[in-house]
Formats: sequence, structure tokens, C-alpha cells
Amino acid sequence: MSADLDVVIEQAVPPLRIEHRFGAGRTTAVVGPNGAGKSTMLRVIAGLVRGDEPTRITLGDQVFRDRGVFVPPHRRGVVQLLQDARLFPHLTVADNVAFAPAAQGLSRAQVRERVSRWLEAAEVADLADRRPGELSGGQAQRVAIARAMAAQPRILLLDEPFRALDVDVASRLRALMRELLADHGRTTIMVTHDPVDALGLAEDIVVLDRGRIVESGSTREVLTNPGSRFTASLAGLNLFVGTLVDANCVVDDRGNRVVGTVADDAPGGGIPDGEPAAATFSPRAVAVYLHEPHGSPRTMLRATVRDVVPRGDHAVVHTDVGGQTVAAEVTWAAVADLALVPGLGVVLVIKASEVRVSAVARR
Amino acid sequence: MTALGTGLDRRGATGLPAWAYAIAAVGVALIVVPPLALLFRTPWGTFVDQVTSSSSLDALRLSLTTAATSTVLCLVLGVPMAVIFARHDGVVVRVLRALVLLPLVLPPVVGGLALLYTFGRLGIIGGRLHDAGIDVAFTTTAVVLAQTFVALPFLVISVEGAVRVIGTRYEEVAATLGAGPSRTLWKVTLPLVAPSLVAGLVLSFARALGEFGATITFAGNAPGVTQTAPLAIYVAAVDDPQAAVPLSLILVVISLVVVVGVHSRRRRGEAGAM
Repeated sequence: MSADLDVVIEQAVPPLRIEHRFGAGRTTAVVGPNGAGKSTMLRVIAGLVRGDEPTRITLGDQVFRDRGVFVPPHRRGVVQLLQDARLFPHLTVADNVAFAPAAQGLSRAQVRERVSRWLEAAEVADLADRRPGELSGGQAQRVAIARAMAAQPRILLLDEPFRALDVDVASRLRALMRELLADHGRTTIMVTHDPVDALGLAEDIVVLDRGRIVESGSTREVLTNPGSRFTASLAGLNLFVGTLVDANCVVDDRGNRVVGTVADDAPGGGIPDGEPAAATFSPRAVAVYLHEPHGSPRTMLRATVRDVVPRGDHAVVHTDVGGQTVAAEVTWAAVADLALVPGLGVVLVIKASEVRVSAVARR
Repeated sequence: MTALGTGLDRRGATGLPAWAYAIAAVGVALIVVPPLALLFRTPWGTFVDQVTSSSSLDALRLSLTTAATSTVLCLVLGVPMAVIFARHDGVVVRVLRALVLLPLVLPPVVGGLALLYTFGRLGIIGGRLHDAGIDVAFTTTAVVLAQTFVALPFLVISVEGAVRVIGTRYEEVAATLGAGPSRTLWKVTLPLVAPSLVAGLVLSFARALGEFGATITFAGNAPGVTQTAPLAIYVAAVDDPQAAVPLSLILVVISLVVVVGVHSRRRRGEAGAM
């Protein structure tokens, strides 16, 4: 079974100094700006980059890398899934998926069994005899997922695997990935730029900046209550986490409700009520009032102003809604008119058409 | 013109100057006319008799078997060299690479002389071999060594370039999927460079087949033992150029088959990569 992955990385070029424990069987999202060292971290874990002394990587009681120890990549059971599928162009889809089982020395029958199982799971069984050159981007990435899973890795490294794909293709693959990761049979680390990816697939999150971990913890807590301005700007969006009710509405445990559109086409079309879910929306979709406005907006939240900070020629008002942070972008004129100061009680109205509701990884 | 498939009708689109075509025509003529001249001077009446004479057949047979053996040696010795040169960039490797490519620019006669002073009875290695009862110089083995010496760089250059171009991206994937270095080389790297490997083999074979200078210096000119087709042609031409034409024509045909084979493979490879 999987064990905790303990990582200490020291690396001069590009600079990286990391110490972290990736929980056994859990999925951890790694976020951070370009050049933060995210991909390098994955390459050191995979063994494609050695890392300077005293880099130390252990999975349970097995040592991958330590002073004078270097286990080569092919003996680590660590599989990488990258932005480009990187299928072997000279092999058919089936032979690509068979590559890892064959390398593990399984019998022909066992290899065939594993190939068909993962081709089915990734829904590409009908492409088995095709060459990679004949596949669309989404199909190729599905095959790459099947190939990675057929290796039955102990550690799965995902490096923005959905980034090069169309939005709807990416969304379908995300749903597939969520299904495949649900058995918690391996320790997964996922580099991503997309807070929805992080929230949807990963229980834990690590925020990397300039080669250092600046924040880590439960994805939900870190992203909804960004502890650093960096994390807040990274997300760029408001995340309101709770439970799904009435098919398209996220409600927290104090009864605050945010209505939106379910964008995630999970199998079965949508998320069942009672599942953990998140509402994602831009600060621009949030309007601030002192009193309940006329009409009947579908989302109306009672909030307390925490602070007002400038962003470009606008102001961003951070408010507290039942313990979660919701940001609203308003004009400076509005700040003056409403006399927005910390501690003031306000009413937030959010346009339902600009709220995206998606599933959240279960803990 | 289009029906003939010359492709010249595309001139408008590419916008090449007219003088380039004129000069290119002269260049093409320089290469194409001489082999045609052979055709015109061929004594067709006695062609079959001359080609099937025992000395011609011996020379041809020796040429084909030694060139094939040299090509296999190039494959075995050249591929590891090529992948190492492609994957390491240290000073030592760069110097070795330059040295290995030396036979490309070295006059073959000089190469033959160098081989003689290595494997000859008085050579560094040949002396010891002689003491052990093995003589290399002026044997068929010497022919193969001479051919391998001049042909090896062709294979190394061809394969090394291809291995460099594919980079390590697929090899890294193979490693993380559990394939060790040997498995990765056999199952990923070599299949990916297969077209260049074949091209390199064909070039090596052609170079070995045409070898003259190093062979005559190091292996001599013993009919049936070291007299390959080029040597036989030379010997015949010294007495009577006309008598050397039939065998020459056979070599032209073999070379043509080889060149056309490589070219059509290349074209197909490019189309497949699109």
C-alpha cells in the first residue's frame, strides 16, 4: 500500500528548497507562479533530476534519494503525466499502454488483461489499434492517463495534464481523473494553475513561490482563506465552499447560499445533492449594498467588511461571510458613497450567471 | 510539365531566381552525364561474357560479401558510439567525436597506410597478432577492416544526429514507466531513429562497396582474396579502359538502387511524420 512521501529538496539551479510530507494515498495540488520550481520538484521526485545534497526523498521506509543514494527513475514506481501526452509515436495505443506492464515483466496474458482494463477505464478501448498521430489532443491525453495508470504507480505526478486541452475536453478528463483517483491507491501530486483543478481533485495544497513553500494545508482552507496575498492573487477568484443543494446551489453550514451553474460534467451529468461543492466567481460579479436591494436577487449574502485594498483603478473589498472570505471589486466612488470601513455590515449580491459550481475532492 | 511531375511549375510560388536554375542544371549535368557516358561506351556485344567472367564474378562476390560484413560491423560498433556522442557533451566526448569523423576527410590511401602500421606484421597490434599466429594485412579480413574504417563515420553521423533530434523526452517517459536503460534503448530510442539508422546503413554499405584507396594499401590486390570490384575495375582500366566498363556499369546500377531506396524511404518518412 502507499506510504507517506517525505521530500527534502535542495537545488541550486533552478533554486529550490523544499521540505514537505505528502500524505499517503492523498492528492496534493502544487500551485505557484511560473518559475516557482513546481515542475523541477516533480522531476526530482521522479528521479529525472538528482537534486543537490542534502536532497532526501523517502516513500515510507524506502529511500529514493539520500546522501550517496540515488535510485534511478525506473526503479521508483513514480509515473509522470504531462501537459503533452508524449505517447510513443512508433507504438499503437494498446502497445503504449502495455509499455509499463511489459517492462515490469508480467506475462503476456497479464499484460493484455491490464491493457484492456485501463483502456476501458479511460474510455479509449475503441482506439487500441490506432497510432498516436491519428488521435485528437483529448484522446491522446486519455491514452496517456491509461498508460500511466497501467503502470500501477505508487506515486503519480501530474504536471498540468489538462492545460493544452479545450475547456470541455479538459472538464471531461478532470471528471475521469477524479474517478480514477477516488480509490486513494497511490500518492498523487498535481501541479496546476487552475484553482478549480486543485479544489476538484486535491485534498491538500502546497503553494510554491521562488522555490519555497509559502503555504500548505487543506485545499479548501487555503484557497478559501488565502493566508498570503500571493495565494489570493493566484486564485484570482472567489471560492465559496459548502454542500450542494437544489442541484445548483452551494450552502455553507450557517445557511449562506450561493446560486450558480454546474459547469462540471461529471458522469451522470452534474453533482448529487449533499456532495461537497464550491462556487467560483470573479470579484467583479459581486455587488456591495448597505441594505437589501429591491427585487429578488438569487444570491444575497450578509457580510462584514474586513479591509479595502486598491487593485488598479478599482478597490477590492474583502468581506467575511460565515468565516469564508469573499472579495468584491468596486469603484473608489462606491467606497466613498457607501463609507466602506472595516467592521461594517454589508449585503453582497452575486449574479448567478457568473457563478460556476463544481465538485470538491472528498477528504 | 505538371503531368511529367517535374515540379518546376512551383517556381512562381517559391520565387527562386532564374540564374539559380541555370547553375543547378550545370551541376546536375556534371553528375548525371558521366554515368550515362558509361552506358554509351558499353560493349553490349560482349557485356554478358565480360560480366560473367570468373574474375569479374569473383570481384563482385568479394565486394558484396565484404561490404555486407563491414556494414554489420558498422552497425554493431557505430550505434553505441552514436548514442553516447549524442547524449554526452563533455570535452573528452567532443574530442573523440572529432577523431572518429576523421576518416570522412582523410584520403583513404592514408587511412590504409595507418591501418597497415596498426595491423601489419610490424604494426602495434599486428605484431602481437603475428606472434600469436594471426596475420591480418593482405587478407579478406583486411578488406573488411579497411571498409569499416572508412564507412563507420557515415553511420555514426546519421544515427547521432537523429538521436540528438528526438531528445530525451521519450526516454524520460520510458524510464518513469519502469523501463531500464537497455529496454529504453531497444524499445524507444532505436525504433524512433529507425529511418536514420537505415539511411546510415545504406550509406555505409555504399561507401564500403566503393572503397579503393585504403583497401589497395592495406589489403593489396590479390584476385579472389582482396581484389574487390573497384580494384578489378582499376586493374582492367590500366590495360584497356573499354574492358573495365561492364563491371563499372554494374556498380553504377547497385549504387543507383541504394540511393533511390534511401531517397524514397526518406520521402515516405517525412510524409508519415506530418
